[in-house]
Amino acid sequence: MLNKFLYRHKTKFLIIVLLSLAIFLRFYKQDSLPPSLYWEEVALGYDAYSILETGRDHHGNLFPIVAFESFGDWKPSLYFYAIIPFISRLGLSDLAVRLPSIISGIFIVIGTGVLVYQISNKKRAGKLLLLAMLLTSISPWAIQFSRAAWEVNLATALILWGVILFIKLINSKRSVMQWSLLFGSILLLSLSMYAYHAARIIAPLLGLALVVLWLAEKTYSNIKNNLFQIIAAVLLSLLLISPLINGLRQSKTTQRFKETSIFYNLDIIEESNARIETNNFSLISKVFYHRYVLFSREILKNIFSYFDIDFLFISGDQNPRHSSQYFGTFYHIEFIFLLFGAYYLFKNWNKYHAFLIFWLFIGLIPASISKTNPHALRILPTLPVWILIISLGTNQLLIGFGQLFLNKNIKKYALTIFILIISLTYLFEFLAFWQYYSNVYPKQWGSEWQYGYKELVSEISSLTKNSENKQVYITREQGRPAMYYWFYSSTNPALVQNWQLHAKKDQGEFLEFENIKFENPPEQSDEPMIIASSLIFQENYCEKIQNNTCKIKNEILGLDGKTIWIIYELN
Amino acid sequence: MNLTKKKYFICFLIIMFLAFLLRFYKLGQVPVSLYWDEAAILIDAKTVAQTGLDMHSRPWFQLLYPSYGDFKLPVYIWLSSISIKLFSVGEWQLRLTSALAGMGSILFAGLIAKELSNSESEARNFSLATMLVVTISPWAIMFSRTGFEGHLAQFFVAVSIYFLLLSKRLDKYLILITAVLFGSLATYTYFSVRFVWPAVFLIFQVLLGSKIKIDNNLQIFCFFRWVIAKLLLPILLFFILLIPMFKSPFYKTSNQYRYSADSVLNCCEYALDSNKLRELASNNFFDRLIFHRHLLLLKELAKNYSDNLSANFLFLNGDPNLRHGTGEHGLFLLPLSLALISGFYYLAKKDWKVLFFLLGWWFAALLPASVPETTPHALRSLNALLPISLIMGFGLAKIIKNYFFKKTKFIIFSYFLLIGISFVNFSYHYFVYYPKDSARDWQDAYKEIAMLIEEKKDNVDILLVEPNHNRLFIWYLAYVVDAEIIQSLPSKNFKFEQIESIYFTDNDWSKHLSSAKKIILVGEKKYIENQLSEIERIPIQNIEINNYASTNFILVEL
Repeated sequence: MLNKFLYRHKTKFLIIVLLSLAIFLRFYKQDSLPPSLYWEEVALGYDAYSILETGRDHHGNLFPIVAFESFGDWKPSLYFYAIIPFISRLGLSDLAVRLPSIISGIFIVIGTGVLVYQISNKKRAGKLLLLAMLLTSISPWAIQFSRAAWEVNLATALILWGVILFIKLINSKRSVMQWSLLFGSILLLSLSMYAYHAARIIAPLLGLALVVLWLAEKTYSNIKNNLFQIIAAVLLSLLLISPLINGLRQSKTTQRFKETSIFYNLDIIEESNARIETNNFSLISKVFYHRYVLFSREILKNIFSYFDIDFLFISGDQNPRHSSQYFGTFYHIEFIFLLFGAYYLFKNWNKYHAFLIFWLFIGLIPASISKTNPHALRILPTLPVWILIISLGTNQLLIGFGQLFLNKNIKKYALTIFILIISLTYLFEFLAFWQYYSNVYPKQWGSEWQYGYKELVSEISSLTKNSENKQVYITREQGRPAMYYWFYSSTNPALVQNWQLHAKKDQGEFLEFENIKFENPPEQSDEPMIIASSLIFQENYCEKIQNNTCKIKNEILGLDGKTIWIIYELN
Repeated sequence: MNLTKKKYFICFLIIMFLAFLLRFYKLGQVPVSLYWDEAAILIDAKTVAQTGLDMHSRPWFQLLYPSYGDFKLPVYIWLSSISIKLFSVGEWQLRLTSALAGMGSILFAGLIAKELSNSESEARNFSLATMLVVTISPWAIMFSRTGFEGHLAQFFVAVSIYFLLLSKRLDKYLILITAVLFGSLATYTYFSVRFVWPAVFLIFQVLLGSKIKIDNNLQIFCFFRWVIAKLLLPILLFFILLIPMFKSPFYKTSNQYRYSADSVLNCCEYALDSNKLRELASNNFFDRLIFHRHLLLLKELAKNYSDNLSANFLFLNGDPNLRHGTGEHGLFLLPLSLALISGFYYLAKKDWKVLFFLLGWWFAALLPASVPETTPHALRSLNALLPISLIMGFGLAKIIKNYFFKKTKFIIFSYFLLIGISFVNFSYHYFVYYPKDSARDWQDAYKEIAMLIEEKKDNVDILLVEPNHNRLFIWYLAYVVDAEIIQSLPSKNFKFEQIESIYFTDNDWSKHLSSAKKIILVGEKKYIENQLSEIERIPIQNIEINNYASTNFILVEL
């Protein structure tokens, strides 16, 4: 009975299995993997908490719409608001901050499956859906960004589902359905623009491409029928992104661009000038070494860097928070599938394949006009496309392999063995990745995640409980101690907002709060105090201080056993 | 499009003329000067041409030339000694061999393309497109204009592959043997070919060489006969032909010299890293497997392969070493990246075996460039020139076909315009900016200094050369000293430290200062001023040498 039932609902059953796998891989050991909250995550969490409690961020701005000032880097606003419901349920905790990203990650797994189902022919669509879901749920890249609070993961999920709804709209006939799909899609794409910087370029361009895709097959009179829908769509989009357009004139939206863009790189302009000058300003040198030519070269260089085998399959992003460092962005074996997938894409060229290629390149552009390439985070919105191509490639490879055999029986056996080999390779690669990621990665790269703050803050809190007026110093080598202090001690945001009026700051980062100073302690002092400092800073602080009695109260160790924080008490 | 024979011939002539222009125009002046490997070859070629003996009075038919202690293979020296015998000592005469090999590579690229085609019309398009790709490739142009042995070896490998293809079509064993002969000739030109050629040969034979299908016992016999005759015997012959080199008296020393460079084999502490990773994990069987030190080595090798395969290296920046590239152009012109993609696609569609053969050739060619740690490396990976060009050529031929459809005519025309513009851009850069950019990398001014030394040395008792530039003796020997005199000079470890009154490696200048002799110092301006500012009583006479580079040398009289 059960067998029959399972067989009939095979696909549904497998979808549930894969979904469980995805959920497991994103929730398992959530409290310690990645080992701790990175400073941007803490900043997201605390400002969300602040909004929840007071309606203002910790700088005192009332319900920011476009961007939060945060550390002075003006973070897009959506993720802050996405955290709020979870904080109100779970309190200010690590899990609450990461949940929007985790949930987005699960939606990306489903979405990639649905997208491949939509664009492939019906005969293979079911299998491809399962395959794409499987590959997304075990993808090192997807896992890396679905387990911590990454705004880009939320943006990716929104973009992906925005696209899915629109493609559904293209294929749907019923008018009521069309309206709701259209509005849904526009809503999701617009929201993504509030979640991550790069989405502000990607989402509108993808939206336009989708409209072109939609209208491409229609005749002029048909378009006339849709005219009302198009006008409504344009108006709705304008309405939804009007705060952003309005924000373009303010420094908070443009500042980030100035900080990261290559167009503010003077070296290139200087090189262009020098080249033109050495050849006496001849016309030909003015053309060949024009700064725009050199800028285009630079952009192209960055785009090319995303197709480096090292980035894709061997080491991944150089930043240990963006990639595990032991595995690439994809599994090694996917090199073959990606090639076959690309071949399949061109061989069976259709409008959807063109759209995928467009998506891929549009997704690379915001990253490529920025510094530091290749950058796995900035191109995350292209993740579904890569995995789609890999899934299609796996499918194509199996078909191609099958064609090598004429005898049906031999073909069946050969295919089975071939699939078995591929599956075992995948299993091996996945287990190797997971073993590294869950056991070695937190120990090896804990410092990249600022491990130790949670323990430090609870230690400081218990030390100051008895002597409330004692001066506390927390030094800044690990970065942003104030934010961590507020987050882990759940400081009342109203206090911070009051304090911010007269606090000493360094680029939006607080250097003092109540009886705590976030800076180096004085060399000599008679006052009793508590000092927390990283090993990097002063190894034997007590030996320097002679006037007071000084003792080491506690040490906080990293997961690799090395000391991160030393807490001294001076009486 | 069906090219008529006449049109095909005209296109062929145009391409060859263009190739000739690009490879022979100002051959002696761009690159600005001989690099020390070239200058060292020049010494041996000169002495061989004039006396039949090398610079250390050893016979010309030796298989490893000691040169200045770096042990060179003989073929380039032999060939360039012919051109020097014919045309006298000079830069272009030395580079002539390489330039001719460059022309030859274009021809053989065309011939290989023809052999890989199925039909007459495809053969014409494919071979012309491939020849065009090689002709305008910055990679091929730059190495055709320098006397690097690797480029000549690349040509011989191409010839060998052509004969392999021919042997398959005509089914003649003698042609197969000829292919093997060219393979070992390439190895005697550039040592790392000994890894490349056997690999390419095996890939070729397995993918394209056999037509045998195993259905019955008789064919199993045929199969074994094929394996022995066409796989094992040629490989065996190849290594037998190399035995004389292995027996050469310098073989051991030359290997030590060669393996001293940083490579993936000696760069890293794999065992330590592996232990650390295993400790951090749980050190069970699975951990020992996935963090095995050989896997770490493999990863390092894969990274180097990735460097040599990166699109930036191929199309945008090339080799950062200015002797191997301009630093602003890839190995191929940027628009040809589309031809490469098109080539992949259409070859996969047409015949995956041909594609896999070319890919195999490409990968095998990258091995010598990927084991050492300086990656990417345009010289060591030169054997990949033809396989990449062939894939591109096939793609380009397919693109050209679309020119004859009304719909795509304009796009294809613009594409060709783009190729034209980037070709002009490269040639302009190469002949106008590159000589200045790269003057220092080519040891510009060494020749002038060598001439000045010759002019001054008779009037002084001692002539000292800044030890940082001790390789100046190579230029001095190459340009100034006669063959018989070179052979009579004393050398230490095949290096010449002192030639008559000229000292090349003397570190302690001060001891000469007190002597009453007349002394001249040669070196970089900065260096000499630093050295001599302490001793103020000595008047300095500057002789500035005008060169492109920022470094100015001076001759100082004490």
